[in-house]
Amino acid sequence: MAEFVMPSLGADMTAGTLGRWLVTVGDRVSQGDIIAEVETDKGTIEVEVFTGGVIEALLVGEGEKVPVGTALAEIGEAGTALESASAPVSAPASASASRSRGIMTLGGSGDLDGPMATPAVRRRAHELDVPLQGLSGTGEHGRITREDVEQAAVAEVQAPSGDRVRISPYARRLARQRQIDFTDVQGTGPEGAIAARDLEGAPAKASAESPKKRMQRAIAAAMTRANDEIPHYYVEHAIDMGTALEWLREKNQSLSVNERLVSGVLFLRAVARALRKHPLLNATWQGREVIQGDGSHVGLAVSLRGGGLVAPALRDADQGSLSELMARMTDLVSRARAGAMRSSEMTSATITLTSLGERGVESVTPIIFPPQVAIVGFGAILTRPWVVDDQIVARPIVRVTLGADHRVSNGHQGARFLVALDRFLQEPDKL
Amino acid sequence: MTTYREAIRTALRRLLLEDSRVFLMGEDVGRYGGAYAVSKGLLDEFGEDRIRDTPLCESTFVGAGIGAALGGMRPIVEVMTVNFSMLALDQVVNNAAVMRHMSGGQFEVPIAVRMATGAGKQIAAQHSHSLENWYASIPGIKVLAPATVQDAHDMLLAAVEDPDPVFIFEHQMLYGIEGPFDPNATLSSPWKAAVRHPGSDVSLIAYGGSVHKAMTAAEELEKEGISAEVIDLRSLRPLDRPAISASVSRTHRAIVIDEAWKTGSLASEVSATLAEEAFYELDAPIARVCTREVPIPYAKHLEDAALPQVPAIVEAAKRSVGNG
Amino acid sequence: MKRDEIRATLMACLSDVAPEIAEEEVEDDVDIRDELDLDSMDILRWVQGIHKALGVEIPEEDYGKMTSLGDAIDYVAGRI
Repeated sequence: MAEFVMPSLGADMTAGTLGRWLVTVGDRVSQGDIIAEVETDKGTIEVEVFTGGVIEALLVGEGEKVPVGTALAEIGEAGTALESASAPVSAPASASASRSRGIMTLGGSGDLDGPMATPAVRRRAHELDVPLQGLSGTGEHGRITREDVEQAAVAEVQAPSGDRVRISPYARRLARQRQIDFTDVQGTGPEGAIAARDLEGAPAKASAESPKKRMQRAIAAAMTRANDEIPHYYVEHAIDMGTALEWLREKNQSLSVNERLVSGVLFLRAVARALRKHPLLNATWQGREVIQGDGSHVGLAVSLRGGGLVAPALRDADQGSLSELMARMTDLVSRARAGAMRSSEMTSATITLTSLGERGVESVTPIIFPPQVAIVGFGAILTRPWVVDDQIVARPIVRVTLGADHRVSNGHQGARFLVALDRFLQEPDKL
Repeated sequence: MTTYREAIRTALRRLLLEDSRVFLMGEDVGRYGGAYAVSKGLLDEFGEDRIRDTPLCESTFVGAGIGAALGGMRPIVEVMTVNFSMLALDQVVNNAAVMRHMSGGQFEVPIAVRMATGAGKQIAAQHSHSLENWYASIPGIKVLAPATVQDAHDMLLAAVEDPDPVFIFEHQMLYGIEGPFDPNATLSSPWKAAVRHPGSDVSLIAYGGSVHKAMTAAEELEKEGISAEVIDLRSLRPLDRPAISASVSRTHRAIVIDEAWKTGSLASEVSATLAEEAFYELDAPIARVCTREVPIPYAKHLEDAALPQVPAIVEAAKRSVGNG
Repeated sequence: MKRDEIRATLMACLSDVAPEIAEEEVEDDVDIRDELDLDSMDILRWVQGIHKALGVEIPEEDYGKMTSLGDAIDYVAGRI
């Protein structure tokens, strides 16, 4: 039997909220199936399962927030599991004792450990962000009703639980009204409790805001960490895109509008190929050691219109045809913008590609997204005087900047990477 | 300036003069002039029919008063101390308090019962307890605790006028106090709490004898820059809950002072009210300053140590306000 | 096909690419890449959408003739 655990969807993630189960007990799953949605500061992420089998138990309820690594579900081998799934009444009593969290069967089959609630009530609980665990139901046989959920939501607003900072009820109410974050406030009231006067000058509350603000905080945390911890070095290289663009123009003429390629896909493929050749840039830095990447997974920095930035991974970007890569890139970017990324896309990249050329700038000096060890920035493809065979000619030139983690690689290797990238772009037909 | 004792006597005289149904009854109220000399001189003025000395039997004369009230009289019954009134509790709980209810509203019991309460005169455990909260927990009766000279007068008039049994608790240390008094002042509602000293940092909630200690504490706190509001509850039943919550909504801190034992005291009731109705106004834990849970001692230093005193109130208020 | 019908279709295709864009903020004479923060992939998806909706084939070298919504309407109107 295998456990399906709360994945780490980014180095700074310590806990996640199970948003929605996409499977129920008894479902057969295969490796790579998306079986749940997890809510993180970066948005809702679809999580894949890495073990095939049959879902034997869902250990965490929808809406529950648990630390990374917490078992979310038990997956048994096919055959053995169906047995217990079909006999839910006899199963829970002994099994539950060893589990710290209640079991929940979405079928609502009368499992005494988990909250009983209809799907409509679960949905309402999800909408109102009320965890069903711990709610006492007033319905028949202790079933949680819609009213229970709505009352809990109101109670949550009036008397939030959350942190156990010692604060007077009055100060807590004021902090809520004025949107003040009191977690770091020094209390001067009885027994060091935070009193109303201590809120003067306290910062505005950062949590409980919009997903947009949450994302901004997540980005801020990651970038601060990158700037504080990662000793960056940079190498820059100007690449003649004449051959590649000419090839692309001809290629697109032969392709239907739905198959057309953009120059970005050439960059992506070239980075993925160069990454294969330079394993020191294809890794993550995990505290004290380098973990080698297991493929050629390139993160794509996707800026969201209206603010925000995500960098989901395009896995195995060195594989398949360019047309396939183009289709996958289009799909990934639109999903990233819609906030529908998958767990493997949030963690597997070892390098990120950021392209600001579209916005007209000549070069970009990017910051690494931890725990990755490198980032490549592309500027605009601009027509520039260029010397070819001792003649000055006008050529489309792109400036490429590699920022890399000096704990893992050095300038020598970085330079070789960029030169390799250049070489790949000079032979677009082989991409 | 008039004393508390004289103010009550003034009210008694007025009632006796104005309403022939009124009479005073109790132990030593006639020839002796009352244990605290409240009725001194009234026997000579109004005669034995209206100023009646009774045997030492609380159950009998409180019961007789209830009977007289049922019969259309307006009796004022004096019990020497609340300790002795325990003997009459059956009459109070099982007759006075329930008659209107059990008769379907046909009978009312317009009796006024006065008694001394509290400690401080070294008259030991059988004469010094503050049990008024026991009465304040009984539906069907009303309970008043005049803290000022004016209230001592006004509340007696209101009690006699009221159609239901009203119990008046006079703190034994107050009989001698002097205060402003106008016998013809417009009567304020006795059922409302009063702000005796406005303040903004902490509410000192008290009644009866403790109000004066709270006032002294407020003055001392003032010197230390803490602005205390003194609330005189006045009526213990019904309790003016909105006034309590309103004060704490202004100050966000509450100290409840009560000469009863802390457990199950009126201070407990006030505290619970605040927790229920003003929780989100509280900027510090509620504190109660009550009597130590011992029978009131006879020895002076022990009696002083057992009772709520000004320094304890000041300290509790400072702790509540914190070190800011 | 009338001009405002073409406009509506082009706007609908644009909304598929960038749903967060409100129609009223798109003026006919501004550079949509600039104003609406569209990149080459967005433009490609827009062109693909127009092709699907109206059957108009837009070769890559003509992208430059569609810098504003007004230009794009003119261009498409001439090719239907």
